[in-house]
Amino acid sequence: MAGDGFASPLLSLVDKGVGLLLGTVDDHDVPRGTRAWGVRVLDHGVVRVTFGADDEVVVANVTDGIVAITGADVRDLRSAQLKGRVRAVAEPDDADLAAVAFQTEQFFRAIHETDLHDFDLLRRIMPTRMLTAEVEVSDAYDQTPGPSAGTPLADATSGGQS
Amino acid sequence: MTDAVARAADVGATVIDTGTGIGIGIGIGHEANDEITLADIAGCYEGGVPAVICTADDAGVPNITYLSRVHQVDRDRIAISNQFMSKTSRNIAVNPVADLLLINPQTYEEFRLSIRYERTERRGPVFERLRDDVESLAEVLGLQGVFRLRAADIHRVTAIERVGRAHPPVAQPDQPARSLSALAELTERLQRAPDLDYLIEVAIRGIDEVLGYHHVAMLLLDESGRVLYTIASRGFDEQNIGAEVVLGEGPVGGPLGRCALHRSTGLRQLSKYGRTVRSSFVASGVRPGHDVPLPTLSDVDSRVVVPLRSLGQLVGGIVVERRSPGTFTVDDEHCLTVAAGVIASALEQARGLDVLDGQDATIEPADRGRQHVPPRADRQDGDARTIVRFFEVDGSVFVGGEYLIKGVAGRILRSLVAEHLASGRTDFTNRELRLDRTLDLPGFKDNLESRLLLLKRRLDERDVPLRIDKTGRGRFALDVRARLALETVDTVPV
Repeated sequence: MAGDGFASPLLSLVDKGVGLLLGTVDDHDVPRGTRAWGVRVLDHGVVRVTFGADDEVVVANVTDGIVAITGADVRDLRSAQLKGRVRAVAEPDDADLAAVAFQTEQFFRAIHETDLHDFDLLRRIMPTRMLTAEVEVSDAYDQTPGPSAGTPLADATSGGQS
Repeated sequence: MTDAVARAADVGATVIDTGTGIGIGIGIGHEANDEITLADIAGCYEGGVPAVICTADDAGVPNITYLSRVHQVDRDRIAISNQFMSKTSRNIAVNPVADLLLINPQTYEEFRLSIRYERTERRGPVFERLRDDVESLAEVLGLQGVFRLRAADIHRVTAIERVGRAHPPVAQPDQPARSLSALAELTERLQRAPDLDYLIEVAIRGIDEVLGYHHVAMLLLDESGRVLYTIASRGFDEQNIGAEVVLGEGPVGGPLGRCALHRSTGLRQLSKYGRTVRSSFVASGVRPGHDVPLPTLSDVDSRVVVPLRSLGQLVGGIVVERRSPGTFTVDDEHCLTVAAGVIASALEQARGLDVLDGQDATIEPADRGRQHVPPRADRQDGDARTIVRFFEVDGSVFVGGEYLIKGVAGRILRSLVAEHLASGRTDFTNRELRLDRTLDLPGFKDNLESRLLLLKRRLDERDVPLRIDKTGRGRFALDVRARLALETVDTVPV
């Protein structure tokens, strides 16, 4: 398990308006992605990520699965990726929904300001249903485009590349 | 549970009230998927919204990241550019299936593509199409030879499904006309233009006002056939008359060097991606070269470069740009291709007529009478003289310390100013310029009229005390509004 500072690069992005993604994989190693809408950190290297749960395959993959959580700053594409195992999946609680509300607003506002896209359009990609996965993070990587993509971030304790 | 979530539960959806005005409200259902083809989702390949790709390694660990763009190869395949040996590429090598999420920026409809890796291409038309995008960006970033396309990975699409429901396009404000009636009106205006100067003005104004492309530049090929220079522009902060592009280089010179139309979209996303990549290279110790700013709108999002061709020969190009959302489409390509064809033919005809007009032009006796009249007193600035500095090495001219123009147009100005200072003359003919050996004009297709017009328009654009006024067929006057001093320098301008 990673130390408590593992998620700080991702969280520093979240406050500025970040596009969140959740990567999953099934039992046959077939990957499946979805958009995520909020992330918050619990103690001891655990994050709660709230994701679009309209896709049944994603929901099935998330349960007890290994996931990747990527956040990319809309304004400059600086990105970070966390990886870890899901230890619980549930309906989002009030704190999760508050994170979703704040982070989605930042995300949409950043797109609107930098890419000039209307809020009415952006709302169209919101899912019908959301779930929250509690993830025990084992690795964290710099995902920013360029030659440094895949560099492990501080406090990530195991190998691998993103 | 909040009230919002309770309400959401009532309708089977999650609804979140941010209380901030944006109002992130959701509650849409999914619709059954019709058969969706790659052609149906063509808008997703314009790069307006980054794509998402999810892969997994052989240990079953997923990786998910954004992609700048996905390209359609044929009815069953897409291509993804590979600039870096990324984790995505390594995962694909050991586990060839991947999951893509694409958004159409016009509708924000989202699609999921299940793909399977087939092959990697390092040459051929698909590779070259992707390479053009990457190299254009590298040139803008000053990262030529460093930031380059390694390969194009080709994937077969095994399934396409809609994520969420279908949405109609949102009406985009300020769309170009793209109509036959608009093209007819532009053609009608062009046919009434009596000379090259007027024709260029009508063309550039017509593309803006009649066709609705409000940011437009027109370039002409120079007498060497290697450089394009800006003869007119509208809708930019600076007109940049005289700005040059080397044929075959960069996002404008590249397509024109191939005599090919090129439509670039999603440039804002590409630019963000490029800036981040550039800073990442700098951080890793690679020093990029100097920035080469494009003659472009700040924050441009899409661009079309159209060749101007007449009798099979490239004579110049038209560049239109757009900043607002709502990208250029194939319809814009068609509209601008027709307009460019008409304009190119008219340009060549007008240039030919101007050459003929200049053959027998002479200074009339009535004109000679005013040739030695010194500049008007109200245009003088005491004893102060405006320095016209000419650099032999490349024909550069600086007026009052400010760069004005270079090349043939610069040498024309030097010649006119020298003659004016020596004799007081203000009236000249194209014919005498053509015979002036100091201009170093080629013997065939000397492009004199276009260069003279370039000089005239550049003088109009800049705040310098010199103008050129056409006074008749093949004749013109130098309007001198200050005392001048000419300095010739044989070193390189700094």
